[in-house]
Amino acid sequence: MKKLASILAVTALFSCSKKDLADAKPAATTYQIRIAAVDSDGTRSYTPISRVKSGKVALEFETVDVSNLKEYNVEVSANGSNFKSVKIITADLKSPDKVYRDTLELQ
Amino acid sequence: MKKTVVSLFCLLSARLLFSQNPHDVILLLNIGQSNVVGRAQADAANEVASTPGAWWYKQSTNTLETLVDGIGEGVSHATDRSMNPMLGKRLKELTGHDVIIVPAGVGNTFIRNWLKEDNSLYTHAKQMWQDAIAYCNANNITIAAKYAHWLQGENDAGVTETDGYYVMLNNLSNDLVSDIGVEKVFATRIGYDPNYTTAANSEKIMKAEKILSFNNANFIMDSYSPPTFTYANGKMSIDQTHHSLLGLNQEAEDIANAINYYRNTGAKISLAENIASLQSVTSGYINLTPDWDFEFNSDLSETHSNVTIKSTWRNWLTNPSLSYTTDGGAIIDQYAGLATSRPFSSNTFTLEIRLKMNTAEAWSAVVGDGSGGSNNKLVLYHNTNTSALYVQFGTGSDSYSWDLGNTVNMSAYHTFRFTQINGVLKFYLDGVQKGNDNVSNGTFTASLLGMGAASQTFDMSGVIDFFRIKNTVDNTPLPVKFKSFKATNIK
Repeated sequence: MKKLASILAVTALFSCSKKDLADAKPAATTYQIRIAAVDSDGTRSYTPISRVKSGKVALEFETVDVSNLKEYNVEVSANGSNFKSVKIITADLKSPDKVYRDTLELQ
Repeated sequence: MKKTVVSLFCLLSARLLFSQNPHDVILLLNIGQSNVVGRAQADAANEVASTPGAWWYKQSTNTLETLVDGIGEGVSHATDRSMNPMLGKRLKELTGHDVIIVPAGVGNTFIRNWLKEDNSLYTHAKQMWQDAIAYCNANNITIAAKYAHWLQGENDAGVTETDGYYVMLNNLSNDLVSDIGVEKVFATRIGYDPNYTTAANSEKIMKAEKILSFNNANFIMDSYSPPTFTYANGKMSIDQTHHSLLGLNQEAEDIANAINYYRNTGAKISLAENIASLQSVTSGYINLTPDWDFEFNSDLSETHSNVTIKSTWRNWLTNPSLSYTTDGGAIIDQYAGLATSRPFSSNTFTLEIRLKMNTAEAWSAVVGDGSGGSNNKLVLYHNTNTSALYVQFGTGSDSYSWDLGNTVNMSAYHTFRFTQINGVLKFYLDGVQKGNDNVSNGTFTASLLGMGAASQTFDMSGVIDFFRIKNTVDNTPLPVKFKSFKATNIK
């Protein structure tokens, strides 16, 4: 009987630990992400939308015709609408056909 | 004896009647597309026997031939029965004049092929016409009247908008009068061909013809019959593409009636529509305010949806399916080009195009009026040895060029913008003005805007990503183009 009680206690302890561990690392959120090119008149041009999970994300994009460009906004949405700017990348006008590489972390 | 003399006299009279030299003739240039050539099926019941006093001119032998099918020769040869025997017969009966038809129609063509600047079918018809007149002069045949008859086929329906067709038909009509020397141009309405187009698209062409009949004193609509033509009532052939001989005979009657009415009254036959409705059509289709943006993104749609652009072969006969780059640009080569459905004409304008090119190629007409003419054109010359780029842009009367040296790598996208206002032409490369302001008062005119192969001169090989033209000056930069975008999680 004593032996059975010990086994139950260890099993309960083990179950509890598994649950705690799960609470500590929630399932990843899927985000939709795009880049908006913003020129000095405020005109915005967009990339197609890509999908990533929360966590560290690597970005790579290339543009042409940036003579009047001010910046690139990295925009993110959890539901496919209501895109919010989460990072601004300054445009490099000296190199109009530049390939941009950047990273960001999504919670 | 008396009977024999009378019989001989009758025989001689009959022979004289059929063999007499034509005099005081109506010379009729028959041009247009398949139905004007012929191509009706063999149809004994509706065949028209040759009429004394009516002939067709055969250019290759410089002779007059009796009006029995098959009429015409070479590309203008009727493959079967045509409208010509009935046309000659009724014209002779109604007017009393001898008739000589100059059959110059060519099947499966577009109105574009018939324009003077295209220098093909127009030139062919003009030469035939001039040879016919020379024949008349050489044989002491007096000419009472010179007319042209135009019959539009179905090819342009669905390709050309009302105002585009209007401009081209107006130009053709004016050239037939001022350059070829006909007195009036009569026109039969487009055939409605359910295999190739829709009633709505046919009506776009018809509207252009109606408006022109209203606006151009030398252009006369003569027939409204084809909308009633069906296979069921015997006026369409079984292919539902060509009119039957019954249908062609009816059209020939209409043309002869319209010509006779004009000769008797100096007026056009009445249109079915009233003037008020025609004016309504006019205001809706002819007063253009072009402002066209084409940002090619694996399709050819226009931002404001007020013009269409089609892919086209150089010879305009078919519409190739266009290929696109992975970033959505339209791939243009020596075979495939792009052409707008509407005309453009303004001496104030912005013309802007973003493209890259096959740098192994030299001369490239990028934008033109589709005619092969030297004006109204953007040409890029790329020196394949030195990579130097030479830019040439012309309006209807002024032309300028810019030598950019080897500073521009045309294997990548670049934007060429030309603006003109108040007599000043400017050129911008990638948003930066190149060279000085240029004095230019010319009007940039095109019955359609052709890109690449559709510019009809030296063919561009490359990719067009964006095209914009408007009748104002617009220095707003084009939308930034993303060549590529990748977002990936880092593990």
